[in-house]
Amino acid sequence: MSLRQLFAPAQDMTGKGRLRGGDLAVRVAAALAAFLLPTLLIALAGKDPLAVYQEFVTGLTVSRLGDATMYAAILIICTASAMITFNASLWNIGIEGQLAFATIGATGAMILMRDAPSAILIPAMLVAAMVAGALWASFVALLRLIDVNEIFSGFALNQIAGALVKFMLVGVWWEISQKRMSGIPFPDNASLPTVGGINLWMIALSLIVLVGTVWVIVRTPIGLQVRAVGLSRVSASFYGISANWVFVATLLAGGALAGIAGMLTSSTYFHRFAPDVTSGFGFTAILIYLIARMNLLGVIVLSTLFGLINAGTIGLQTRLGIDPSLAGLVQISIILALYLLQGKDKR
Amino acid sequence: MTERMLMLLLAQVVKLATPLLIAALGETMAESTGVVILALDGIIMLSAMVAFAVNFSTASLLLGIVAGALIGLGLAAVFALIAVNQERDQYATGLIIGTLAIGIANYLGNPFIGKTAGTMPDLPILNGVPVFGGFLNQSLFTYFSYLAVALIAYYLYRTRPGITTRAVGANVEAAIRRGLPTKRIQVLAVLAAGLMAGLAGAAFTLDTKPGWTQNQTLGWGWLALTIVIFGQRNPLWVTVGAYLFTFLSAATIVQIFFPVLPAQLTGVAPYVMMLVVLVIASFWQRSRQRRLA
Repeated sequence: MSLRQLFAPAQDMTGKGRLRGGDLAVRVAAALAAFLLPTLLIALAGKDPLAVYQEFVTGLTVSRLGDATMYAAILIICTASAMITFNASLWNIGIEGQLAFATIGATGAMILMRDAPSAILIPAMLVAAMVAGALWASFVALLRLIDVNEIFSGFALNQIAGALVKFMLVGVWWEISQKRMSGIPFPDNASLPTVGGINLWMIALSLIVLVGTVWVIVRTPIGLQVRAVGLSRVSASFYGISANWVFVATLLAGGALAGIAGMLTSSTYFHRFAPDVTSGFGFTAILIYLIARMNLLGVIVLSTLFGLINAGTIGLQTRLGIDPSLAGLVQISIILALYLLQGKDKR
Repeated sequence: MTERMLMLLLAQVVKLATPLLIAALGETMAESTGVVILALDGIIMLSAMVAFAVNFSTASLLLGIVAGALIGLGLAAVFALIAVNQERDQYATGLIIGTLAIGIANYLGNPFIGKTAGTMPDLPILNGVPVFGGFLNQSLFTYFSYLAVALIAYYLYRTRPGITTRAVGANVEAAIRRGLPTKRIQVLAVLAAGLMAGLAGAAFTLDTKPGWTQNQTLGWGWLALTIVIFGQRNPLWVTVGAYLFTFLSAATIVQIFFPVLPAQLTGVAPYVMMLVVLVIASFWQRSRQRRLA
């Protein structure tokens, strides 16, 4: 298979949400229009929208851009996780919880091997996080086997995972965190190194995960089985494909990818294990998937844009007293605008 | 446990269950027509924030309730426009609208965090009733929920439009062939659900858990959706589910069964219960399917 084939627009079986060259301009216009709603809300909160946007752009320093790329990389990996399960028609809302639970795994590995060199510590954390993520996803899978809707089990498990993170911090690891609610800090040897403020390792890892995931789903027999089940469980069964097997396999794989994101989040993005480390990555990734579907470029552009929005908003709180939740609001407005632009979903 | 403690516990359960029940009853209407509103959590949250904000700013509980209801209705209208009229994916639309509503609630709700305002008074209507008066005696919202159970159950099972409504949910294709205005019926049901979710939000911040903090009502919409699954779209079972669920996940009850549970984990009881409820509902569903097969 040639490289060109790989980067050709993914053969999305459902035909949903493909970015074509022609309507790219329309989409950019929509993304701009999406700022109307946040602008209105900023004004409603009694702030000057123009000053906010100006501060937003000037706030994007190099270190902030570094944050933005890391944020984007984590989002990309979470979106890859969403791709796997959504192609099997599973609405895996549980990515957030799998990510949270994976941070427990990564932190456990870090505590055990704190003094090991990066070359050993980072792979160990990665494996621990992936196993933890897959383990948490396995609960959704088990419940799915007895026909429990994965949306609801996923949401409940997200909340439970969040509470477990708190419990680990305040209960089990309270001494290790030296009784700080701010969390357990990660040593420098636990984080992927940056090059000139930009974490190239994370960018590379996220792109490998994304391209690999799309490739497996779109171009391999395994991916074909997954998509077959996603399109029709009954038809797939005529070809001898077990839907249950696909459900379990995709959820475990998705959980493992969420685990990678969890490891990166705690070790390299926040440098600590704390209750708020998930920061909605899993949920935002699902929204990105709903817009970009299997389109590589779409996922990368949206994730990067969201990373920039998030990084630009950090400075707003101290300078203008703007609540950081504005970032999420701008992001979801963009999602809504793009969603409205897409035609009817084929069912 | 003394009798007085039991009464207090039951009163607390009824108060906690009220918004859940109101939202779940509304969602029952929508799901009777085959529309699942995953935005429910967001609708409840924005309505809750606005209801409190209006109540705080105008010192009028009535305006707060009206504002909450209108927000619920408005968000449901947006959802219906996209998911029903435009025939977009219900789940995707629901998640996007819900996330948007939560974002707006948390952003605009900031100035109201930690503020206090008037709360709904308990109305002593049932004081004379022995035993039950001790815990059924609640605010207007609770009385409204009792009324809503009766009205919605009667509407869905004993009136012609109600049976038509359920027919749409049972089989949309058949309803279309029968010449029913399926979209209009679905839109109306979604609007009803939105109105109820708006009232549920108001019930939260004006009565059950007065005041506003970030993510004040997070998760309750999902719990309401779960209870509708448990109740299999039957208002009476939904009611049983809402009370049973709230009772079993009440902190006091959890402590009785798990006395050594650390404090960080007691708050998670509703979500563990949510999983239990989902499993029970799924087993019921499967055994019913086996009987039909």
